Amino acid sequence: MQPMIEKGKINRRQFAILTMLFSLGSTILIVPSALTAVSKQDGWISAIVGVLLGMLLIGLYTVLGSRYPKQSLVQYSETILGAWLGKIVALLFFSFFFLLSSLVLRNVGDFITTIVMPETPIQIVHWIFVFAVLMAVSLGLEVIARSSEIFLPWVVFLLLILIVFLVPQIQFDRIQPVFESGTKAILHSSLSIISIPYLELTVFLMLYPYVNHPEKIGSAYLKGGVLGGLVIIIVTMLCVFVLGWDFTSRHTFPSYTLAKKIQVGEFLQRIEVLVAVIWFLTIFFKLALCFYAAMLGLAQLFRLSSYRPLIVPCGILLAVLSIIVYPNIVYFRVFASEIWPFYSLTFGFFFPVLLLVVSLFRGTAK
Amino acid sequence: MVSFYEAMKKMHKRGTGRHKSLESDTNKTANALKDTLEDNLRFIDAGLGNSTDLVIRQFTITANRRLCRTAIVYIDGLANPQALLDSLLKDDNETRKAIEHPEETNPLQLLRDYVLTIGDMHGASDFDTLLHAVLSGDTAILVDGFAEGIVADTRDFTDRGVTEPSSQTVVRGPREGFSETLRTNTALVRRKIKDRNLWMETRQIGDVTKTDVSLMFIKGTVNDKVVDEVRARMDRIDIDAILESGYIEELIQDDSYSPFPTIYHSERPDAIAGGLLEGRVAIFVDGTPFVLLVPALFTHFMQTPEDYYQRADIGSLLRILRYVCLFIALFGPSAYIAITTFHQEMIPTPLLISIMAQREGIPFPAFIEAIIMEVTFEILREAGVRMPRTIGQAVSIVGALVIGQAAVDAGLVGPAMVIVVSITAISNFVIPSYNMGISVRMIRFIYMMLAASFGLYGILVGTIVMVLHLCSLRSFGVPYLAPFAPFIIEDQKDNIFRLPQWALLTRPRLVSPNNRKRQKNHPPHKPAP
Amino acid sequence: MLWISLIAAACVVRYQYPKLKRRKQLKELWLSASILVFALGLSVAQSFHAPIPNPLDWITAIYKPMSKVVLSALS
Repeated sequence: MQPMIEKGKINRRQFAILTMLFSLGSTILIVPSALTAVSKQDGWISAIVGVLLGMLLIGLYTVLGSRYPKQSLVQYSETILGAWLGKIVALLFFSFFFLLSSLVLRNVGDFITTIVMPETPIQIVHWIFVFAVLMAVSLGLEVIARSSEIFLPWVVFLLLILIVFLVPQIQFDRIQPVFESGTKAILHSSLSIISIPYLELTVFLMLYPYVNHPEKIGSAYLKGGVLGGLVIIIVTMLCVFVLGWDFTSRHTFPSYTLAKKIQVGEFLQRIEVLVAVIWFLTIFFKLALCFYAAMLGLAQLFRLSSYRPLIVPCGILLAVLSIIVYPNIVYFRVFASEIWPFYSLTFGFFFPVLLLVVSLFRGTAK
Repeated sequence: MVSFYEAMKKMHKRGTGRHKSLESDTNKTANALKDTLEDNLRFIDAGLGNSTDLVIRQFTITANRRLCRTAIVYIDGLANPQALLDSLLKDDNETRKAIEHPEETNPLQLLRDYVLTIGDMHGASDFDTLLHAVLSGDTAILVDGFAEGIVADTRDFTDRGVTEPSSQTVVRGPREGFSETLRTNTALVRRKIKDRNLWMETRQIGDVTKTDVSLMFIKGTVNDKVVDEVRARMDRIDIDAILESGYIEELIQDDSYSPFPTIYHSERPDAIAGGLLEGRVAIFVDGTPFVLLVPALFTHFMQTPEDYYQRADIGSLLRILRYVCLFIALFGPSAYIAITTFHQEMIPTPLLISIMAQREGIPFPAFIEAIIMEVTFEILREAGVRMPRTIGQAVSIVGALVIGQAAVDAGLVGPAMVIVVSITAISNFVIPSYNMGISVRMIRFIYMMLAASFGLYGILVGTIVMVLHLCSLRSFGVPYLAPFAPFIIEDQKDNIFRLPQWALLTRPRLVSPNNRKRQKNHPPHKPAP
Repeated sequence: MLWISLIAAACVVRYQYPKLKRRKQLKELWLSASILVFALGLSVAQSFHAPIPNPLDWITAIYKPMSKVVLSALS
């Protein structure tokens, strides 16, 4: 057995909360737009299709993870595929998690510099966020899980405000004609919600050894993923009902535009910045978990006794990478809709299936 | 720079007691009492530097037809040896008392068994024990020809007595407060808990002050690991003086660098008794009415004993109010700065126009305004504490209003800022625990700086960092934010809400892992019609 | 923003590396130091606006054909 780098333990409820916040992460910000881009007003149907397929993916991860409850993804890659191939796959997973972290960080930076504080240079925004993330990762998984329990009520509360106060502005005919775009378009759009976040949920396969009662993780995994997906479906529906599909597909951050529409009497309006807190918190947890998985994976790959010395150097690398990754938002939208689904398919579907099949074939299970 | 860092490292090491001086046995034998009374008395007198409050009273008693030169030694002001002298010297017939018990030949044993009327007595055979006892208020009895002495408890010094506590006042509930004497304090707690499992241990901490520090806990309810940990940490203390429980608190707390307190203190016996019943450990320090309670979680600092004496509904509402005030005290000024500087669109238009109109004539940005007002308030608050009682009240109230108004008239700050800062300051006082209140005061300034630089984004990242820090804190092994995180559903009945007494069935899970049940489940019956 | 990276790197070297050396955790030390040097190098390059290769470009190059095939099938 390799030495345990992380000594904390989280319980199943915390696992479900983390999964839910992770699924909301950058999804709630960029996915509604992608969902309506091709399937227009049937975006919500794409969302439902995507969530259902996502549940299957979670099922796949649960099966794989429960075969090796005491090892993380990086560790059982080596166990299953042997030292050389396993290490290469683990390194690839590390690069996936790390790249994902930089993309998520860039999402936050883009959001703030476009909408909230345009005069602030994006690097400062990134560095502040990176500071919080580095602190979270260095304090460990247990602390991240506990703080997610503290923040969950606020996220739920703000989501309720968003939903409840927008109900008066729903126009049901915006959803008509239903099913106009056809199956192909709906499937096309659902790729966006499958790739963000469901294919990224492999991150949680790194956390399996640190959960109490690992045999029953599956239901927590599923609960969190489904709840997150449900919120995305509702938000997408609201976007279509209140804004219309054309606005939704054109805006980069349509859920923010949605929040702008909240109006209660004369005094409670233009509070969209408060609602933006939802995005910040959920993206924080997504980024913290991705970065944590990357650090943990790297440390386990090289058999280190702790990942802490790696945190700051990788943090600097993360900040640099998040600027390099794309020059402008157009590049990002093209990348996210055309390339990302397939890149994440490799890591979210192909590799887990490969690992599972080889593992079943070799009969190695712990 | 380097030397300062070295000095900090040294102080840190010293505080955690890494180099403890060991008392060797050779010390004890070198300090053994001498055989003749003259030698002993000369040693004691010289040892205390012929201090004028040291009284040595010599006399002769007749024991078993033998004359023994005897002396008592005590410190005037600390001890009252009257009862002792009465038992040694007084006799009905105006003759010197003659003690006749031929079967006992050792006069000291004779005195102990048959003569002395004091309750608490020990033998002493070396000067360290003897002098320590005399300096604590006991009287030492020495007999010529024997290298042994008796130490009798004759403590009688003036004490403040049991008065109303100044810091944690209640509307309903006992008005007793601890005093500066250790024994009075432990007795007050014993009066509340008459259980035989309430155990007490005492030790002396502090090389020079030799302060008595007592530990009290209810065996069977308390987590034994916590008691062991407390003992271990107190044994590690290597310091010359303990003047107040705050010294002990700083030396045994989990994380010295955190602004949040992890040890609770109270002046009220009922608060300490309540904590003991929950399975916590109480630490009494002689010389201070503030008793420590360990482990202490975040929720404990937001609760008062009065919550339990009033009705459940008002208790719950007051607790919710306290949490609201906590948020106001933390985020008030920073939210105002962030909104007026970065996110003006959030303010309803009529209010926005009036605020902007106010800010027209003010030369400073919102952040400087806030700093000026906040610092002024802090100055007023500290001055109010130090002022003599008669002037103090006037200064705080008048100062706040008049200076605030004058500042507005002078055009230094806007009236909106004065309101924000006043509400913040008052909300700060709603927090029941003073040490949590001062933590909030400090953190508020950090949030103001973050708000001024990065608006609500800055406040949010600051909150995330603060919550991460709070989640990583432990108080003697118990997670600081329990029962919020990890969320323990059964402890929620006494967390923010206070369910009625008949519903409080179990003790908090992480604090008292043994003996969970408090009472049987019997909801109130409606009276028969 | 190079100065932030430099300060962070300096803090790490000052506070963490002596501890690692003392505990003989040389593997961690080497790995951390190499990543640190690499990251600082990139930071410097970025602050001088030197063109840095973008990993997303490589990924796009790899997956473009697959993307074309699947997406045209779906539209």
